[in-house]
This record gives sequence, structure tokens and C-alpha cells, in this order.
Amino acid sequence: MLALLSGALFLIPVIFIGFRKKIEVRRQRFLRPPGALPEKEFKKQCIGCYKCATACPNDCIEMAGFEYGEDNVHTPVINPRNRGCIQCMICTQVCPTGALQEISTDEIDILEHAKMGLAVVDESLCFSFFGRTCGVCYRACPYPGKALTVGLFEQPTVNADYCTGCGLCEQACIHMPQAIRIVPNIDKV
Amino acid sequence: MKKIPKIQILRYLSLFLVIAFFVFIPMSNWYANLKISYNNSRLVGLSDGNIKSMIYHALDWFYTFFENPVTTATSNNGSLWAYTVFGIPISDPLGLLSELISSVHFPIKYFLGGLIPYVLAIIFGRFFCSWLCPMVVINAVSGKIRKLLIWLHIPLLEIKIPVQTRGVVFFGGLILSYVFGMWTWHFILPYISFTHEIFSLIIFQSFTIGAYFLLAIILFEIAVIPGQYCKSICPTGFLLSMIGKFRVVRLKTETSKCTKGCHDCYDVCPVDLYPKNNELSSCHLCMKCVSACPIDNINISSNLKKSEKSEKK
Repeated sequence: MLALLSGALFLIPVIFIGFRKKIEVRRQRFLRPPGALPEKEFKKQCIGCYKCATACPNDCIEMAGFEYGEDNVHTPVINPRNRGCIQCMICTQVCPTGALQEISTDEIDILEHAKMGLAVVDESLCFSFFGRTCGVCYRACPYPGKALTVGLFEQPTVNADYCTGCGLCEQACIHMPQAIRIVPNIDKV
Repeated sequence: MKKIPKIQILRYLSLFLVIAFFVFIPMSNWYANLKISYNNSRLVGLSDGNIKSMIYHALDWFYTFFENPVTTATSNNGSLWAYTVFGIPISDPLGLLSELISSVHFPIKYFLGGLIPYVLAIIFGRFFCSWLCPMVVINAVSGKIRKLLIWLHIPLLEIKIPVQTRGVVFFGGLILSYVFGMWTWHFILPYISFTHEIFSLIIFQSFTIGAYFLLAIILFEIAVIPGQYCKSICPTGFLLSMIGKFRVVRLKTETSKCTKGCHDCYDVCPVDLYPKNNELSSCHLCMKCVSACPIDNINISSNLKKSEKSEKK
């Protein structure tokens, strides 16, 4: 009886976080690393081993704290405003459990499977829509001319078929607050 | 001055190596990333005199012994849950079981790594707990602090937690991880938190929230439950002692030879076992009783040899 009681006492953090998961929590926007499973399965399979965070050559993958929601603690996240993903796909190759599905460095493979989110241009903020040519996001994009195309005054338009949501455009955007932002795939569900 | 026996020095060395290894992993990954991205010492040279550039040059020297420095550096990766040592994957036995339960899914890479600790547990039992687990270091430090506080006449509690608690934590944690569909162990296992803290300190230059839990456990160890985490709460210890119930290597005492009224082995045992009567259900193989015995009566024996002898008879 005493054992049950003291055991339950040590499981309190788990129970707390587990129940918090069911309540809608205001949290910071984040992306999962490329090749991540759908959010529900990802949370089941990710063990928080830090392999992807140590292997990331760009240091863009960080292990989440409470600011990303209690249930996401110790899972890999990318904050595109701090640093975007450079699409090297090393994290998908080191993942031991398959929470990040393996993707080769082939461009066709990346465009097909590494869908982290979708870039959205806010035309009321973007410099180029007010006659001041900027084009920084176009130059930061890893697939220029495919994912991002520029028109008159370098006004950017996003092509959803090619955009992987890597966040490099958001990192590069010189307007504050950013005129181009990534809408993460996990928020759609 | 008491003389420290040789086997204890070996044990401390292995503990030190484990902690050094988990400091070394993130550093070598960081080194490899620098090496790949710049491939010259120009950028490192900009920060000369810095600790980071010192580490870089030290690792650069270290990796000259290997044919391919970058691939060797990146082949060491991970934390205690799942890591690779020079390309060989090793994973935590508890993490493996929990992975199987929380997601009905069988990642082969991960489970192959789990074989090594399971086989070692079948042979040696809970040897992990006193030869490899960083918790031993935390325990030793908090024990020293407790002694100091008692010497300063500060009143401290001592509550005995029943041993069955670890079973409750083990099964409760597994059930909860299935019910909530998420990973549950980050806030229960201090040895995992410890390695995570080392990692985030080196890679992100910050602590994670696991540090609060680690601090809480250390304070508890000092003030309320001295040395009882490993004995009666740790779920990994429960799993390992279940696997190692019929372990091959174990300690054995010839009770008939024992001096009457001698309790030296009982006094030094960190998990309150009684080697004199061969009550060694969850033995850590820390060898403290072996060196404490005044007549060298406790010996390492194996089940295999015994069975051979009985066959001969």
C-alpha cells in the first residue's frame, strides 16, 4: 500500500504532463525536423535521445523546453525565426527509432518527403509590395525559381508543390515582424 | 588513511570514463561540424585563446590517429537512451521496452542496439547500476554533503521507502506511456537527465527543465531519502534485476566459514543486502563486500561451473 502511494508520488510529473496534453495550450510556433512522422505517431516514437540535435551541422534543431508546450518537452524542434533548416538530411539518417523517416540527399526525394511546413507571404508587410525591391527571401531559398518565384519589384510568390518549409526565407527576412512566415504542417491537423 | 582496493579504483575509473564519454560525444560532433563546414583552421583561429578553439585543437590532434576524422567523430552520437560508440549502436533496455509498448512498431536499428545490454544483464545482473550509471557519482556527492550537514548539527529526515515502489514506478510508467501515447521517462530517471544536461550545456550553452528534476532528486537524496533512489525507486534497476534473476556471474559466501558476529559485508553494502546469508537478489556487483570481508570469504562464482561440477558428480 505504502509502495503504491510512494510510486504514484514519483509518477506525478508524468501524469501532470499527460493530462496537460489534452488541454489546448498556447505555445510558440515550431517545426518538426524533416521527415518527421505525423505528430501523434512522432510523439509516440521519439525517445528524446538528442542524436538529431548533436548531428545537426547548422545547430538549428533544438530540444524543446516548456515554451513549446509541456507535452513537447525533450523532443526536437526547429524555430525558423532563429535558424532555418539547411536541408542536409543528416538528422533523418541518425534517428534510431524511425520517428524521423530516412531521406536521401537527392533533391527529388527531399522535395517529396521533407515537408515541414509552407511559407506564407504577408503582402501588407512585405517591402516589395510597396515598391521597394528587396528579394532577400528569394536569395535565401534553397530552391529559387521553384519554391519561390519573384515578379515585378521582386514580389515573392510561393509555390506549394516545391516549398519544404525549411524556414531559411523567414530567417533571412529583413522586415520586422517577418513578412514571410512558415505555417507548420503540425498546426494544420 | 584507509587503503582503497584495486577493484574499486577500476570501478571509479569506469564511472569516470562513462561521464567523460558523454562529455566527449557532443564535443566531437561539434568538432566534426566545424571541420565539414570550414575544413580549415582559419575560422577557428579567429577565436584563438578561447576554450572552444582549445577544444577544437585538442580534438584535431586526437582524430589524427584515425584515418577519417570526420566520419569517426560523427560515428559517436547520442545520449544514454540510444547512442553509438564508434558505429556500434547501444540502447537503454528500459527505453527499448517502452518504445515497444508506446508505439506498436519495431525499429530494427534500435532493437539490435538493445541486445548488448540485455545479454550483459543476463550474464552480470545489475552490474550497470554501480559500474556505468552516472547516478553513482550523484549518490556519492550527495552522501558526502549529507555527512557534512549532520556534522554541522542540521536536523535531517530519513524516510525509508519500501522496495516494491520501483515495481510500481516501472509498471505505472509503462502503462502511462501507453495511455498518453508519449514518452514518459524524462522526468523520472535522473541518469538520463544528467546526460541531457551535459549535452545541452555543451551544445546549446543552457540547461533544460530536466535540471529542476535533477536538483529535486539531489535535494531529496541529501535531506529525505539518503541513497534510496537506486535501491527502491529506479525502474531500470527493477527491470535489470528481473532479467538478471538467474544471472551467470554472482557473489558467493561460504556461510560456515564466517566469523560469528561479523557484519562487515552488511555495513558496506549500498543496497542493504546481506551477503553473509547469500541474500543477493538485486546485487550491483560493486565488490565493496568482497574487499571489506576480513577473511576473504566472498568470492565471484559462476552458475555454469557449478552445473558442470554437478554433472560430473
